[in-house]
Amino acid sequence: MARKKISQELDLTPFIGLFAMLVVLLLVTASWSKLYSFKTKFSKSVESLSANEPQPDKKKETTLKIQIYGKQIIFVEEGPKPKKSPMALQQPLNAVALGQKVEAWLKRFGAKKQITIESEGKVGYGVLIEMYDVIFGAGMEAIAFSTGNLKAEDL
Amino acid sequence: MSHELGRVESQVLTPGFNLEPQYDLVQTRKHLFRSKGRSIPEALPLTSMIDMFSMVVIFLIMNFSANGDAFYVARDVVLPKAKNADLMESYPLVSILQDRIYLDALPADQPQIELEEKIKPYPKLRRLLKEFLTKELRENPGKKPEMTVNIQADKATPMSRVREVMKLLVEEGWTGIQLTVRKKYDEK
Repeated sequence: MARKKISQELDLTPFIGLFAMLVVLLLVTASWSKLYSFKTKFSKSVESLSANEPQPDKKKETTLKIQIYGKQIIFVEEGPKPKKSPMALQQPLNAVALGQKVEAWLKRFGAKKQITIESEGKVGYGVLIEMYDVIFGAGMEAIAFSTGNLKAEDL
Repeated sequence: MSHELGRVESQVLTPGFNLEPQYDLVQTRKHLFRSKGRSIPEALPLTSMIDMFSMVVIFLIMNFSANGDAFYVARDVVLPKAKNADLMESYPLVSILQDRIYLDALPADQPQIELEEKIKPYPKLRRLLKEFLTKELRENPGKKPEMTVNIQADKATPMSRVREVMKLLVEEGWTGIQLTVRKKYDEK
């Protein structure tokens, strides 16, 4: 009597149904466009919107500011030894040159030193974000925004 | 032709299907004239479909994300790009355009609130933020609400406008402000 041959192959038909359901589920839940954000925490002091809980600056200490005007950026150190370093404002920003300036500050003052970003009212939001990106990427942790607008006459 | 008494051997051969043997399609003839008892399977061969599905599932699993979804980007907004930002988390969204402010703080089945706020001190936005906070406190009593919002603005929006809205948010107690951006990748 001949032995009945048993098929050793797996039946893949239900596998196709499973995959079809998986594909539909993952298509619905897939994230095609992701957004990112800079997480900041502001203090309620509205004289200066101080992000990321900066340390209070005393008069004898050096205050660091980055002033953004329509055509230039000025790195300002206010304090016992005031200093101003202007740089042309390029679109897009020269991240390498800006990063070097910020890293120099980082080495001198440390990561927890507050940097205040001031700008003219007409400066675009994109410029602020690029500047924030450079400062944050360099390692500085305390970044503040001023509430007032700079004026070109202040230059 | 040989002739023998009473017997003739025929040398007439039955012709084949083609006069010229080189044109004789043997396999085609077999296919056409095979026995009708054998049935041709009509099912599609799905083996390669499994491979295709495997690739699609792997691709979609890699794209799966529990956060960072772009739940709303205003039509007129071109977000700035940044390298060092983190994935966005879901919080009430304030969209700042040149002449309008949108507030997206409602469930997904309700539309965004468009506030035509051109004049300080933005009373509509203040009122709606207070209403949202009241609703949060009512729905989750005893739980301190996370006073965090997402801000998105076009990269050409003047800083004066963005600064006004940020100041308003901080005054109303929304001290956690997340600046929404798109990821910038290194250009090769």
